[in-house]
Amino acid sequence: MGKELLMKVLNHEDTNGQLPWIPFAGVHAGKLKGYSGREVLTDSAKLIESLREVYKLYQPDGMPITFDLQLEAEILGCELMWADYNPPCVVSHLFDKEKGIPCKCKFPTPESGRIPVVLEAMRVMKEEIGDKTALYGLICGPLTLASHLRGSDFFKDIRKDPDYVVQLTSFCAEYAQKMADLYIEAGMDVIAVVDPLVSQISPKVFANLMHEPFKAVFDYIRLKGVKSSFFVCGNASYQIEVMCETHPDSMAVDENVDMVAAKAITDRYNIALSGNIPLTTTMLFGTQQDNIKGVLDLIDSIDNKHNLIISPGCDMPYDVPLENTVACALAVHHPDDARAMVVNYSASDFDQIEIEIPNYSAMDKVYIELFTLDPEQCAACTYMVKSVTDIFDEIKDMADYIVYKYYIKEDIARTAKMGLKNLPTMCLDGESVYISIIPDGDELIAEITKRYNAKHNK
Amino acid sequence: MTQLILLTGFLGTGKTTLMERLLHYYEDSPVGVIVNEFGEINIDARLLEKDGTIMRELSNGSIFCSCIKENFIKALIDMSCHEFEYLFIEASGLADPGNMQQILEVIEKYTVHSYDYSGSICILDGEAFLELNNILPAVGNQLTQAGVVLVNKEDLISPAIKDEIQAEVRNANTHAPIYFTSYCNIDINTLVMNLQPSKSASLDSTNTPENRPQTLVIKVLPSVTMKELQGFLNSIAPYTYRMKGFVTVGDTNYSLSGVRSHMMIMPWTRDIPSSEIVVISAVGIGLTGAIANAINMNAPKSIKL
Repeated sequence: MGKELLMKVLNHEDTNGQLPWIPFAGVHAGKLKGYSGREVLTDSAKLIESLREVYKLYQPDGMPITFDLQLEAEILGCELMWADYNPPCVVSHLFDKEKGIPCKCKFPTPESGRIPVVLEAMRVMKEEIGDKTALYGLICGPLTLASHLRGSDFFKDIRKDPDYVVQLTSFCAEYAQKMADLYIEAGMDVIAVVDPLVSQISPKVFANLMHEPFKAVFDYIRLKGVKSSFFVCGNASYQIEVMCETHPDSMAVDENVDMVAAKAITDRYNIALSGNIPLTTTMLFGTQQDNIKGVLDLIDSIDNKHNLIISPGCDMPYDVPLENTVACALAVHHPDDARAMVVNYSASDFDQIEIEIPNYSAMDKVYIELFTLDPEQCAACTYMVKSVTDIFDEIKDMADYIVYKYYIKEDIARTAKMGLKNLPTMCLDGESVYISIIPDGDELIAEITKRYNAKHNK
Repeated sequence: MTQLILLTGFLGTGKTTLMERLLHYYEDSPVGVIVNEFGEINIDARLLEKDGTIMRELSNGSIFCSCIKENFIKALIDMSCHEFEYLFIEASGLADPGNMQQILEVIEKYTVHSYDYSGSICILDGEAFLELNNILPAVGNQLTQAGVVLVNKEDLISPAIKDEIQAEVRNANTHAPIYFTSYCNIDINTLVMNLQPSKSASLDSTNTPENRPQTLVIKVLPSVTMKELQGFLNSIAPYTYRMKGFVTVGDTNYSLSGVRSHMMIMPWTRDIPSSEIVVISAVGIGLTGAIANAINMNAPKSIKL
């Protein structure tokens, strides 16, 4: 597990069937610390705090620092519209009235726009976790950046003025190279060129007009000695081959692409493929069980595990429940344990097991019950348990605790009997108080003290 | 009053060689130098470094382009504090000096010691001129705006080519004296005395931030062999306008200067700032791929970006 595993895959080496996992937590990282998307994209301290949480809870083998395709366009003069729970979007285009090419004097520097926020987070995360997890710097691809600058007429230009398209995408490719320089300098292990619009143009147009700018960016990243990835969103099934021709080290696709078919193509080019846990149906709206099952099905569907990375299809929605992502991490890293859990989820014989629910009100102390998937292998579960053990000396006169594990039959039956849907969950005297939220020490001490005093009419 | 002399000429024609001769000729006179480089690293400034010469480096673009014109203007004003007899400006090979007179008019009221613009010396590469002429409008304007035209590398061209060059130059510039030389070996006094400001109308420079060719800096490790280095340079030469820099091969330092397939690698006895080559692309962003291939083919372990 960890960076070494992911780098092996990016170097196309054998990993004995072990698969790396990359949670694409962009604005979603902020949710883990209660910050909005805007806060984490504009405030390095909040971003760093959130990324630490991603690392702690999701046990990533690789993780992005930010997922924001508008940063470059904003520097170049496009206006953005901000939303609390999404990345911003571009609302004005520099050249929507008249064609133009931006000044090369606007190439990015460490001081441009919001780059200082990103670079600060990169430096800090590199120092803190850079040995353990591969860090991804995400840059906007030349096609998407060109369309940010020109607006929707860019697609008309593709037909009517290909010379202009070549000029503008060349500028954008050179811009991407400069962005890559900044992020590589800040210690990024992988530069991901994110270009959702690739799925919106035909493979023929891509080959004719986009091959050169994309290849120039991937060649450049390789020459700089780091790994590259080509992220695309939408149904890029038909574009996979021409994307491979630009020679990235890896590629990431979302749920619109059939991973099996795509992998058959990427395997021919010896390019690692990353994907494609469905973002909304599974991660956002599914249960933990759906997520574990989804990941296992995805892994099982692909025969050749070489050159394979498991990740969400694209940038995770802000509100993806923590426990779903935790479930994905567990399923990727410990598929055998996860398989047993799926069996447990669907087994009905647990109803037969007799479970005695404690008589909480009769107990002298507050009774803390920690319901976990697996306190050793699920990071969120580990931290949930630690949140109690770390302060236990201070509360031991007021509380007792117990840890339940979802791979023990009795504990599964107990979880069901308590009506719990998400793990980890911490119950206090039978009430589920912290559902997939890890309380900090002071908060937990205050809550226990309050409940203990209430029991004793203080 | 400081006599201001501008040196223009396409990439690799011999501007730095002429500058060296000028500095040698005027070594007992107070002179200042402004060296403009297109790339991020100012190689020519290193070549011209000399005790006592007051020099300003302006890198990363043409001094006539809005991208660094402001810095050029500031440098001219700063340099006017010195009582120079001559201020020599070596423009970048892609510079279009069409707006030189305008710039001097703008700074007139800010200068301490005023400038008298003697004109520009445009240096042409006799061997490559006919091939390279008309590639970029900036280069045509260097010729049009010239007060003297120096056709260099005479030893490498036939009399017929010489006639052809003479006709092309005269076509572009009707009045500037034309001298044919090798290694810029010309009587400096004659050259400077015959220099005059251009009679061509002042023009907007065609140097714009948008049309700047891409430049890349290539790092060369000392483990490289001369064969690998030459193989690499030959591979990328067709994709470049210009390559120059300093490299260390084994224990020896070299200066390197190339224009397309014309390459000179000379031992360099002084220290070098770093073993790097600045490359100006003739094929836009396609240069990156050409470099990647050339490194793979020739020196995968000792040359990188």
